[in-house]
Amino acid sequence: MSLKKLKTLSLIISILGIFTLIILNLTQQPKEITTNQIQNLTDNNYVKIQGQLKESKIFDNFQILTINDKEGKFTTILFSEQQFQKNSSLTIIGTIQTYKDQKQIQAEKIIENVS
Amino acid sequence: MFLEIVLAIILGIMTGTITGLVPGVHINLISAIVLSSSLFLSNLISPIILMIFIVSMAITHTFLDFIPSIYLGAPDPDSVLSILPGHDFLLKGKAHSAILYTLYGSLLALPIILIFTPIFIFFLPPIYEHIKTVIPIILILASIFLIFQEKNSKVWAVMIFLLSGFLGISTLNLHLQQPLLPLLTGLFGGSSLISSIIKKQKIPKQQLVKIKITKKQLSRTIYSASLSAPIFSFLPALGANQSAIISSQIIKNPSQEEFLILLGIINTVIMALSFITLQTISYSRTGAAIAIHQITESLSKEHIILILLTVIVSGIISFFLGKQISKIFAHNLVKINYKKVSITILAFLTITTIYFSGIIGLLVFITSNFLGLFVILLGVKRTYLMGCLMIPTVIFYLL
Repeated sequence: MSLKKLKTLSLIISILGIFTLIILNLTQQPKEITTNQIQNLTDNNYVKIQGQLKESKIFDNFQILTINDKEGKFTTILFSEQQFQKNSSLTIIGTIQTYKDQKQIQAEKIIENVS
Repeated sequence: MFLEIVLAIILGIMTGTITGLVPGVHINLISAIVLSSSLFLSNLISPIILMIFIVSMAITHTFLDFIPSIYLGAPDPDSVLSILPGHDFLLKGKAHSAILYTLYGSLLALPIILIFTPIFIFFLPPIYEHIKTVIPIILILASIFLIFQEKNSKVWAVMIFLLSGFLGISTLNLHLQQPLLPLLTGLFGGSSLISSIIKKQKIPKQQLVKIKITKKQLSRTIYSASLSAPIFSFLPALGANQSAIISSQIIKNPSQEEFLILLGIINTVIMALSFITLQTISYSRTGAAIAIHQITESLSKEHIILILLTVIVSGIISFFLGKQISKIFAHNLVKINYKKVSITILAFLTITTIYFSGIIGLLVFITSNFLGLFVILLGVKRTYLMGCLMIPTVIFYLL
């Protein structure tokens, strides 16, 4: 194959690859999990979990939320000023992260469930 | 305690040698392993010893990661640009000289680190809040500056910058494990290997020539690095690579030798000062510094003195170690089949990618390889591919 053809082919493959990755981005869905599953998942897993807010600690530019579900409790880190009522039912979408050997969820989005 | 510190430095140097020399094995990976075992390790070893191990490993890595970049064309993200002038030296049979220039650069970084540490401790915290607000503007200006440097085709430079930006945004939002591994390894390492396999590149016998660094070269590079490297140590997305390009503009028409020295200085300064910025402005751009932060919570004056001592000791040892390892590479490079080595490294990088980032990571790796290869075949500078980090960072700061 000539270098000119290879150059064109490289451009086409890279554009197709980028396009596929964009589609994957748009279609990816978080995995629905419960508290027990958090410890078994590797970092950066994209997850969705529901629970009740038990405690929130507000710092300069982030909050640490303690959430309970039927199986136990877990910690969520939220980098936003969004505030929630204690005991409110929340759906957390985010990624698993490890901090001091403990798994926690770094929230991307938190939705307050209206009952 | 003293014996434990010495052992931690030795172990750090040994591990840093492995991460520096094996393509695809980054210190962030080892730091993450240390961090995930820190609860178990804390029963056996003091956090200070773990901190010294990480610092020693990270500094050794910055001295040695140019060796695979220049001899094998398989860089890690911190040394991607060394393959450009470095490859030229390799093809002239002077790869060892190129390594020596980067090693002297890293060694020159040590006094710069000592000078800038107190400055960072006392003066950076009050001004950082103001700097933070203009980071996206600095990055946009830096991008425009880099694109205007292109002599062949500015249109293609913009296109490549944007394409790599799209690639970066889509990769970083895919929630992959180690997303930078397939992205940067493909764009800079894998594509170089494919290019040398296709072009059936013959590597000439490598000579062990003594290098000459004139006082003028030395003062120009130190002047340029001192002005820029500390700033780049807390600016996101602009790595040692772009920093070296921008820094090299401070001195007029830098030679390839000066560029390699500059790259060595910046690579080591960024790593060492990242340990300090974490303490002073609660921000760090390196995985090693973040691991230290999680192990030690906060750094005391004694911790900082220990970090500086570790940087100096492991830096000096790594300098001599790097010289010897480079000689071994230079002696044995012609004895090996470069094409077979390139194919083996490419296969290793592919397996590493699948192991850490899965099948989607492989898709990122393939796409990055072809985009990198396109840029090589087009003949424009590969620095525009850093749009893959610069564009997502600008968007992150603006949103």
